[in-house]
Amino acid sequence: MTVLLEGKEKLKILYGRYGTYISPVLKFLLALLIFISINRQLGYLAPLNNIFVVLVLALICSIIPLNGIAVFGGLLIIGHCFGLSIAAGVLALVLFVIIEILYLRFVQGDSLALVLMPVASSFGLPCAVPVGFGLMRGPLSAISVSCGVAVYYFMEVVKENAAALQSADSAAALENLQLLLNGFVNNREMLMVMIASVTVTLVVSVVRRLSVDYSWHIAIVLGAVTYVVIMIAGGMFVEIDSNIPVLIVGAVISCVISLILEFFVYHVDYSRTEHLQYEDDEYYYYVKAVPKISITKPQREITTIRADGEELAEREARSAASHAAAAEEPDYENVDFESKLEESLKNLQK
Amino acid sequence: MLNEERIRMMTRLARYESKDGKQALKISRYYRHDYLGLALLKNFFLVTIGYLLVLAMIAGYFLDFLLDHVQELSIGALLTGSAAGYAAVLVLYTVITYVVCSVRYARARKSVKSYYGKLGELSRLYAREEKKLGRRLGRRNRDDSFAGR
Repeated sequence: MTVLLEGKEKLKILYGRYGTYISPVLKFLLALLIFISINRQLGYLAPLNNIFVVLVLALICSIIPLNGIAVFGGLLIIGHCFGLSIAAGVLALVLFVIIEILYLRFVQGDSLALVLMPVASSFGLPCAVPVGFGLMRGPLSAISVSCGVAVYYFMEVVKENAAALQSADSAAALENLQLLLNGFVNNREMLMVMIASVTVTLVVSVVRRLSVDYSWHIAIVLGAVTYVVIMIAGGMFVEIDSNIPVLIVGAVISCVISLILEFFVYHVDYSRTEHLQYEDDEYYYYVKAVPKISITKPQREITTIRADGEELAEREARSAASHAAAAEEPDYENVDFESKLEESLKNLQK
Repeated sequence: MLNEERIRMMTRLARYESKDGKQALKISRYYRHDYLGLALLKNFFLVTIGYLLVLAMIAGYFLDFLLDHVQELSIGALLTGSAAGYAAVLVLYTVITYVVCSVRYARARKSVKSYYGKLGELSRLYAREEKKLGRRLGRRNRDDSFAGR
């Protein structure tokens, strides 16, 4: 654990020193991951499905605020949908505009959920996003996460109907639109995942604020368990094909990712918790103070250790030198100051 | 000479201006009722567009049904229902926008107030420094004139 804490402190110092460069690099990597994942899932528009275009977009995202990743991610999805068919493109555009107008304009900080959820779901870790947003943001993030789920399942519907959409002529745009809308609205799995994600976000954000020891750990585990339980129960009642081992492995990995997040954001030492009580004119205060775990960087002191003989010789040399210096000093006691003064006065008069 | 305290304060203020305070300073330029009025007006147009899009999506979903029963459907009832839905959504979003923007405005005013307080402190630091510098320069001039330089 000490090694991890030392590593964390080193990272903190490194970030403090080179934060100006590290922050854009991290944003670039996140944007790259998201854009590559979107291209891997859709990739119908050839000019966008190009690594150089993705690199340029990620580079732009590295110098603009984090919400820029969501904007470019959304544009990428819309572009690919237009590449497949006009109906899919229009529907994607309408979906993003509705989400932005009716919800995201009130919570700008949550827009990343729209593109993070499809990425996490494509890696089989859909549980990581609601748990993460529950830890880092508030209960309102549940809506953002469910919007992300809607975007992911819209992409899935487009992917499933890609062959039909591609082969149909442009006159059948209305039919395509209906095909996509039917697939999107009647998607039971999407509704199940939405319910699970909303519940997980609420559970995690409520539990982590509780005044109990290890509240963040409890919140993470409870969130993952809630997700698995809801999905398994949903699979039984709503007849969804849920692969239980994959679900459990995904939840475990999500737990690990969330614990890493917790290590960097909220790492406290519950063994040194202090309970204080005091009062003022109006209130009684019952305070629980939990110290943060921090480790100071070890200060290195260099001491030179020599053999005894050498040290003795050095000491002798030093004392001999001081004796010589004393010998060179003039003998002030035997100087006749009066005669010297007279001499100098005579010299002045001359 | 460099004043460390003043530099620290200026850095903090510059950081506020470029990060957290950017939005707050923009909001605090308005009077409260102007800011809220503008937000509500913007909300009206956005909700109208959003509602029309949702309505279009619903119509697209039920397109077959609508085309099959176009003769039996009462256009008046449909329009009334849509208008009622629109009114309900608009009222809901107006309330949400009003609450959110009021909170934003109050927060912005509070943070800008503290920012102006710090600016005042900075200006006092400058004044004090100038006074000190002036006194020193005055003494030097007095000494020079006494020495006949």
